[in-house]
Amino acid sequence: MDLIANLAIGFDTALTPANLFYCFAGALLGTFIGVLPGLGPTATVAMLLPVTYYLSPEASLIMLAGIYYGSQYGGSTTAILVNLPGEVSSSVTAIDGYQMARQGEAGKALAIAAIGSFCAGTFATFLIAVVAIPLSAIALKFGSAEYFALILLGLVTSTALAHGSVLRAIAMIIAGMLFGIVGTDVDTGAYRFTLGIVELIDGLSVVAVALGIFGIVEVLKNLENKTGEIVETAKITSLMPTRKDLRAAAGPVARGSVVGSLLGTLPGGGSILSAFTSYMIEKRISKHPERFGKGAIEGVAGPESANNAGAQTSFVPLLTLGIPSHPLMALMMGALLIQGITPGPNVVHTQPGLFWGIIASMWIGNAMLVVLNLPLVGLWVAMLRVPYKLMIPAIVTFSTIGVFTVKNSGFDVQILAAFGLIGYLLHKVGCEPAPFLMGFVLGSLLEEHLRRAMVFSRGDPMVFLTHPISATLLGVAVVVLALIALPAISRRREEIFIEEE
Amino acid sequence: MKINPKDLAAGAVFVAIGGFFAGNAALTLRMGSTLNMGPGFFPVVLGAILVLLGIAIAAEGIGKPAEGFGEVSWRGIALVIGAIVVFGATVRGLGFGPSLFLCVFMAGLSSGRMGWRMAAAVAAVLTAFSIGVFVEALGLPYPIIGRWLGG
Repeated sequence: MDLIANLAIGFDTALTPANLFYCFAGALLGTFIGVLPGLGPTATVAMLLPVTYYLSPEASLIMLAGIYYGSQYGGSTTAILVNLPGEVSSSVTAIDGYQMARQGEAGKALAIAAIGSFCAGTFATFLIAVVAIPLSAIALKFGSAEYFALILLGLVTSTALAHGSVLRAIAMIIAGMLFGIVGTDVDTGAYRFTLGIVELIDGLSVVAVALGIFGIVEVLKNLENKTGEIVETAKITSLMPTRKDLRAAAGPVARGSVVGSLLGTLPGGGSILSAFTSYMIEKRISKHPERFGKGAIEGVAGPESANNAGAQTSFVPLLTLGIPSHPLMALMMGALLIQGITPGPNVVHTQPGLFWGIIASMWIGNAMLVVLNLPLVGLWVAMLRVPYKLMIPAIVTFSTIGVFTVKNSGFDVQILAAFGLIGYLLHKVGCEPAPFLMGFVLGSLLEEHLRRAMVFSRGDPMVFLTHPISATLLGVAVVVLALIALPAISRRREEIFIEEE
Repeated sequence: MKINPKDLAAGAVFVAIGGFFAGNAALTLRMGSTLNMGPGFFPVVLGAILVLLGIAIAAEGIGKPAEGFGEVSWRGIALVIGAIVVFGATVRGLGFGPSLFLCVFMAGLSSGRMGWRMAAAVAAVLTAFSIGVFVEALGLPYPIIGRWLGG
């Protein structure tokens, strides 16, 4: 069977000693930064992007992917033990997980989170293996009109993830797109917005912009308040869940895996949306919804499974369509481009080892995390005692070096400083960075496909509506936009995001 | 008329960004037609939309209670951004080592919870570590001591 043969190629690639090492290194580093609040996976991947230049394509993608799902594990560990979600997606886990910990069931919550994540990871791995080939076959038929519609849909759905006002999120996307097209116009060779600066002819460095608005802004935000150091941590008791716990968790894990896998593939989806949705479903169908928020094991099992499944399947749009679904995937796209590989439907045929290797490595990495993390929980918690004043110089230094090493350019370092300031200003006026980076990465692609589609259709904008696939995608985008803008739902969104604060 | 300063400021930022891109594109780039779009078409359209969105965001704030901007650590901003700018400006002249030392030192002082001795110690350790990883192990071709210092 093709599926087995393909996975065999993947395991062949992922199980070489070097790739196993990078998988392990990525997962471990991911857990580390997942535990530390104030340093997210997006900033970490951006910092390491230049280093991957020295690795093989397989090793670099395997390591960066490990950072992403590793951070999900690390984030939930601190969410449960100290009510401090290291990552946004684990903030749902904190609701019931921390309550369990306070009732002396910290070990159980951690174990269920790990087991649920692993089951979900296994499910997501097989799902990707099944859908990847048919999806890329469809994508090969895509023309510019379809790509235009798909990118637009991705940008629209990514606004669903931003906090607060929809208008602000859309404005951030457009601002991102405008900064994204600075440089030489691909079609005509005209210099755009270069202001006579030679270094801007190649455009703004993605790494500098991403690290500026994610890494540096995070540091500046943390400098605002004088509070800091973590205090109490819950005691870890027996790790083993009882048979009754496992039975209670089985349903939520299964539902979480399915929901997470599906939502993860949506452009703009990923782990955050998956975790929130799973929590709402479990609460809705539970016979005892009043237990939620007071230490329900379902409230840990479901979202933890869902966020891990979503983290994995969010690779699908990038690997099969060539469209990153959220900022971190945009950086993965950068990692592939550094290696001279253009992500898209062809990758699965031209680079089977890379494609299946990443998928297999995710499963291996998840297994490593289960084995490693439960015994190491004490170490991770100790890590929380690292004072933030020591982390500031470290984050600033590695961001700066990370940007500098891309092109050995002092100018790019100044861009990092500039976007740190711009990002902070935007944060102060209530705008989130994620839509900006999405727009930044996808803006020039959107423009390219728009222009190409218009040339093919001889200037007739109806082309986007006469092609069935593009019409459908645009229709979905309109529906999504309408749903987000509806007062009832926007209130709901606010509730969700307030819980998360 | 009462207007929430946070919404007004957000609107102003987007009007400024959109206005700059649309204006610059309209003045210097060819628009083209819908059949054959010039380099100016996309930015002019996007910039104009952004200006309108900015106005809408500011309008949303009319009649809303004023939100504060929260605390701002000016010292922190100056030192963190300053650290990065200093590295970018001096890495060629002073060389990787001294330039990085300055950068870490300034960033260390930014929180106000680290004395200069401690910051210098952290800077020395991180600089040595970075030279070890990036210059020695990864073999990046950066002179550790730059030409301003006779390196």
